[in-house]
Amino acid sequence: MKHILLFLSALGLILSCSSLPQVSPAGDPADAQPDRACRGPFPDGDWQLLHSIEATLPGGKKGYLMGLTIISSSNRTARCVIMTLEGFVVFNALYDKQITIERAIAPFDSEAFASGLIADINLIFFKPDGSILTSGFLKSGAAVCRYQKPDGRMVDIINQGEHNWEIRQYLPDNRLARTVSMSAKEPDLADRKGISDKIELKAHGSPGYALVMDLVEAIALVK
Amino acid sequence: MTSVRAGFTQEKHMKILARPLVSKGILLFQGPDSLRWEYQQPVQSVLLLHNGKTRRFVQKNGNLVEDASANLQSMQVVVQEITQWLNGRFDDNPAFAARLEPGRKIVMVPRDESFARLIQRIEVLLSDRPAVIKSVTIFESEDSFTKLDFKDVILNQKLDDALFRKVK
Repeated sequence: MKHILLFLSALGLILSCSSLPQVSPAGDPADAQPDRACRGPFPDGDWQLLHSIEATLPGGKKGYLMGLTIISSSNRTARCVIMTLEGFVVFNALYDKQITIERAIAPFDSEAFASGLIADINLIFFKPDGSILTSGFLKSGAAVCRYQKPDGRMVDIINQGEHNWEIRQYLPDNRLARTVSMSAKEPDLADRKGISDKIELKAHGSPGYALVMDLVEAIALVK
Repeated sequence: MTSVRAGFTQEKHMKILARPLVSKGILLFQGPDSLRWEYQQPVQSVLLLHNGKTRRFVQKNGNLVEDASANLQSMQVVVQEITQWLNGRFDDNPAFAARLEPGRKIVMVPRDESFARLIQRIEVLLSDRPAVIKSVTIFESEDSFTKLDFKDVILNQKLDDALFRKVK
């Protein structure tokens, strides 16, 4: 019995550790790709973003909503409004170091929903807080930058090509918690400052869910 | 009046917005209670009310797919209310207290306090053309409201029944 438990513990350790991929340092120190990965696909400045959202909930049920996000990269603040397709507001909250819920209609009225949503918005739109642990390349050849957050969680920012990005967030035990894929259709995004046309977020584990966000409108806000 | 066909422009106003969110579409009504509320831009979606049942379809990868899990409770209230207005009945719904104000404006305020937290009031502006609604404004709060302006209104045109049952 003791041996079985030891084996299961070892297996668990191997499985959890295997979720965090190895990062190989750049062969050429002048290679700029890992630095680019560290800057990430995050919008620079203040923006008003409107997305159409397809949400896949636990059990596979799908729902369609509109998401309005007003973000400031310098202040790390975010306003999040969820509307029906007809524009009826079902959730409205401000994140400025803490969450202030201004309107929440069932089933969007739990604190767990609000904190989960703000955590996802932080992951999608803001460079991770914490420090860069390492940067380099994954086995696939994609450039990667690994951040360690103050709570011990790791975030990998992976550049998979000109306008294709992936963000992976791991739990403190290195299990994969979130995957965010981002892509842009337009070849020249110079005036868009890192705003993706399509964002797909997957929450792993139980209860898992997925969001597909298609950009409808991006307005640069001038202060 | 037996039917209405109208184009609409919808503006969503919120204090926090740099500029209002604008949508455009068409509204079809066939008495006594069939409605098709179709957004054509920026995101295509169709809301159908027929035989007391509300269904919503949304564009996904070029196709209109049914949003079976839709949280349609609030929308059901709104679309059923609109069908009553299009029938000329502004004071049928006991959930609202309706009053006529100068300038052909009808103001409807929810009687129930919990409902008033969702919709503060609805203002319907009547056109000088008989049986025609010029605009509807739904106030969620003083800072957040949705205004629908109707145009190109055609009354009593024969509309195919399938328009209220199917999206295409």
